[in-house]
Amino acid sequence: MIPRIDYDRPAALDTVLDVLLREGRRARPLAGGTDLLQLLKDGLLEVEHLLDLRALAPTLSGIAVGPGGALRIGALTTLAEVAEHPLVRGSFRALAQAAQLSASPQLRNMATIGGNLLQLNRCEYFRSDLPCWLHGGRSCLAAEGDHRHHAIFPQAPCLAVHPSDPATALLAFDARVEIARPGGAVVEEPLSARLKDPDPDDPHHFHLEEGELITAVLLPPAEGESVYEKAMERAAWSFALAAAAVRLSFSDGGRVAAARVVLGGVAGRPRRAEAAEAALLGRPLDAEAVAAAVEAALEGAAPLPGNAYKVELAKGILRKALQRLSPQAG
Amino acid sequence: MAIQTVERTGRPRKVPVTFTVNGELREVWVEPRRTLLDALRIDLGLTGTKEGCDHGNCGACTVIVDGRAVYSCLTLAVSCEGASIETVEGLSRPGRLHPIQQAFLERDAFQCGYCTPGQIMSAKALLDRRPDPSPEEIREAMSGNLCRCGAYPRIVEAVRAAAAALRAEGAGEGGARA
Repeated sequence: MIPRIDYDRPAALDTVLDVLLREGRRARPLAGGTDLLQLLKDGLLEVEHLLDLRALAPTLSGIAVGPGGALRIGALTTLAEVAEHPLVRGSFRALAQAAQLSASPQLRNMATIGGNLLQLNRCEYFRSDLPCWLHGGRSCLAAEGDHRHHAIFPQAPCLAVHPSDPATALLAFDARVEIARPGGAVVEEPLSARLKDPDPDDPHHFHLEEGELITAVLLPPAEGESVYEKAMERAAWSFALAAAAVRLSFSDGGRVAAARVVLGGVAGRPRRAEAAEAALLGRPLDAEAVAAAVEAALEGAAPLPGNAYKVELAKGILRKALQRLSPQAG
Repeated sequence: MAIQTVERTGRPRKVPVTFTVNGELREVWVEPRRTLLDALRIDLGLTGTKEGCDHGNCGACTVIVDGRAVYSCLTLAVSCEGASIETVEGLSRPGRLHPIQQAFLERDAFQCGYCTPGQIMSAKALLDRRPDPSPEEIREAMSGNLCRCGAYPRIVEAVRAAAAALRAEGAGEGGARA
């Protein structure tokens, strides 16, 4: 059961920011609630005051197109809306696919793009409230225990991976986040600058100062074609074992002119594979280039005995993504 | 339409919420921590909606809020102020099951039946939006509802049959079903 909480539905963004600043972590914004209510039921967050953002939906939800085909996705836009939106499906296909492959239909109807960036990891030790490093213990319990779903790139001490599919795709579009700050200032920063590994002081994968609220995700105009591929334990409603978001554009001669390669499910943050991008640039997307990019993307992986399978899985997923973008694939 | 006040204890922690359930305006007094699932089952006595995992993992608690299938176990009742909620109780008419319910019966689309109300509400949300879905679209739309008995193939069949029945009914009545 959810512990006793106070609840307000502020009509103004300023009120939300004021309360978040004044009450710190005791107050939380409530958007879709799909992760927050689970965390409250499980006693994993101590929250006394929920600020329901519903009344702000007219300004904080919806997808607007800007100059050159840039998109502004309001933070309260649901994953279902992102997945279904024609402009997202057009120029930002990997994001639509990532949203569509997230969770289940009901959860996509509820969960918001802003909340998706603020969800906590799905490590079973953490979620079971066992004394892992994030809960104040001395070490990561997954490192010596069950780490089938955990990071294959070195990170310490918590081995939890970033749970979001959209975050992986957003990095392939150089997405920025719009954040409202106390006093009314609005800042825009690259999403990558706000992503972080979880730590005991703040288990989130996203850095927010007290009193800050994500108000939108911003996508600059996107060139090229993109794709999102995801390996799951079952065909639906499953977090990524490994995922790849790839965006490529080609020169007139069929050579790769620009590339973004991002891996999901392999580290505490979606992992941009710049070495793989470099391996593709200036080359036709043939089998050799694909193989070189795949090897480069997984270079430096240091899996544990229980998740070594993920290295080959991630390679396969990235290979599949690249092949789908091959001009010959049609 | 008259408001039915279901519970009003006067305890200070409870707040009033008004929403429409199956077309009827209802007011409940709930603690802010009350889920929509508990408000429906405990405060309103609508026990057709089932509690399974209580964590958004099983789909037994699926209801339709403002036209979209959601998990009522991860929805706060207070958040539903002004919303239109549909539950399995709202489907049948006196002496006549809803075509989706009828199709689940005829196609044997359940065994223990515990997940069925949630399955039926997911099917309703789909067919309200897409009257003629492909089997792939049905599987996708139903993928947030687990059936531990494994009746999945029959569930897909039932949704297809229900879609056909609803389309025939719509054509027969010369318009969409209310």
